[in-house]
Amino acid sequence: MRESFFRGMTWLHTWVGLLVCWLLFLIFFAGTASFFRHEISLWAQPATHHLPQYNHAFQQQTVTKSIERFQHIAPTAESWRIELPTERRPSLLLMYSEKPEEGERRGKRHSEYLDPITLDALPEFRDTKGGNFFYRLHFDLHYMNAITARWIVCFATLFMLIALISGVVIHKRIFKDLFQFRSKKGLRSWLDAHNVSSVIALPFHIMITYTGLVTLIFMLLPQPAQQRYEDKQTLRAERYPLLATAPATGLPLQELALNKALDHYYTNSGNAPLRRVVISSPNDASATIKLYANAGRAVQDDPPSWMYNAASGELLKTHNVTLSGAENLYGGMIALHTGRLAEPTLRWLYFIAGLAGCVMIATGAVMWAKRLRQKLKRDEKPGFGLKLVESLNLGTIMGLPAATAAFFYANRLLPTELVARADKEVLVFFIVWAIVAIAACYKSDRLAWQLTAKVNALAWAGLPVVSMLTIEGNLVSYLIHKQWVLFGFDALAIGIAVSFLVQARKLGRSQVTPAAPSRRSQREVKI
Amino acid sequence: MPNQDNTKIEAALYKSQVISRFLIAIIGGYFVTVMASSLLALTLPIKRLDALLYALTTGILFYPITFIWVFGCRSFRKVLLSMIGVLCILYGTLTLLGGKL
Repeated sequence: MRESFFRGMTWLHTWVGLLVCWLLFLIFFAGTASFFRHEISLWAQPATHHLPQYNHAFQQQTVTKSIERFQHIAPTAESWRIELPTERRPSLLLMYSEKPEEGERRGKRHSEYLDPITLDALPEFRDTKGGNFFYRLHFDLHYMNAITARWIVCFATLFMLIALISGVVIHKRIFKDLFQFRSKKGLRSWLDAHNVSSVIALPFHIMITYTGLVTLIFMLLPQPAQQRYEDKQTLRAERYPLLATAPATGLPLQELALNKALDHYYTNSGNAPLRRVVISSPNDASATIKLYANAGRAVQDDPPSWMYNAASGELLKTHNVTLSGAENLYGGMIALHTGRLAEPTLRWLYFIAGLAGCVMIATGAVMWAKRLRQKLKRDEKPGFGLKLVESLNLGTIMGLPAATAAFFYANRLLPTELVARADKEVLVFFIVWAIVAIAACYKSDRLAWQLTAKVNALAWAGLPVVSMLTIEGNLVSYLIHKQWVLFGFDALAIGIAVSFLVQARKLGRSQVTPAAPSRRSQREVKI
Repeated sequence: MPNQDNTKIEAALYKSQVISRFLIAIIGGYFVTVMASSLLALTLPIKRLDALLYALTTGILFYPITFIWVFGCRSFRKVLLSMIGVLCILYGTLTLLGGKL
């Protein structure tokens, strides 16, 4: 009974894993990149490279100036929104939405990025998605309906959770595997690599999978919400009480009591820096001011927020200032997933754990193909399934990094005046991925792996060079001016190039060894 | 050759059982999760928003547990019957308590 249970679980682990591993690799890959979402966006937007680190002491001044600007450019807007600079995004983001036209649910939205001190427009601002592309890609996929995509992602994530749990169950020696890596032992090495990458970061894998489901839980399980709530609007009003605003009166607002509201906020929040300011129905007597705190290191994703009457500066409502146990649990889980709370060291740890997840998925997928190859008799032709898995492995594992490099090249090389430039960057990403994937269908043997590794190494090594030639600043100047994010990006690109080079060399070396028919001499390679 | 036929039938039976187990696990697991977390949201004696958030954050666990049980249990008949039983009990309790699906 016990043995058959383990066999059942092994079987389950293999098949559940195999079924969704390529999609999971994409999700993990894009998700890992989005831990550096704002850092990638910074790199992708050279116009913001020279903005100094913003001092929160200037916040009140920035908000006042922003409102003056809004009065000038959009006095009749439905709402104004100010996203203040953070440690990770040095520019000021101003947004406003027009009143909806008849028959529209939402009015047209406008946004602009500005220098937070002078409020000047940033010169040569380029249209790019930057890190947001990867962030969206990891749960909305692309070129498809977002809700369908999220259902697919949810389904794959549920399978991931099952693969993780059954993986732990079939692991009889979980502690020992932590310290065991037998290199150059063929399939055994792949299994060890799979185990090491899984077990070392196991708490992370389980946490990120589980909390990933929590982020989409209201879509995945809509029924529990229907039990004690009449409809979606009631739930929405209870979850986000500040969203409910009084209808516009049509009477003009005498004076915006911004300073009074800000004073109250700073006194009662313990001088917490602001993250966002929203003014609804500005210039109408019913106007409100909403102030959102910068949650900083708190394990809470939804920031504490205060809502004021814009005419009198009186406090109307607060939200998330004190939390119940359930709200803490839910918000904490989402905060753990998004990792917005992480300072640089923890952020790198998130990134490395995410990479371990990618390695876990990749080694698992490769191992499946290797095992089947090994079982083939000498003159037996591989079946369609095996070929498909091998092609998908190469196309995904080597294709995604190449496509990512291409996306960054497009950011630097596409002319800034191009129409719909951001979409074209994304198009470049998918074209390069498709090329690698199609090539992988044609050939997915050791030589193909070696070739794609070389291409990747070349592409990533060239990235800092192209960046240096197209914009101001390079690895040395970043170091001198202590622009750590930009320095980190270029250094990471070189690091990635080196690891692909190592991979290509190992693949080349093992090719020289004559492929003897015995099992043990079948050398494997590491990614 | 009766022997070969037997192995063929056995292989087909095995295949169909695997597929059925997957269906039971994926679909049955989802409905167990939906109803169990709905029950939690309905019955937890706390503020309704808190009950809902607890139900959602912990309710996910029902899915992998059910899934693994469907594949861990040896007898196929037991899996099928228990799944039907559990779904009926959950549905019955939910309806009795005035829940909606």
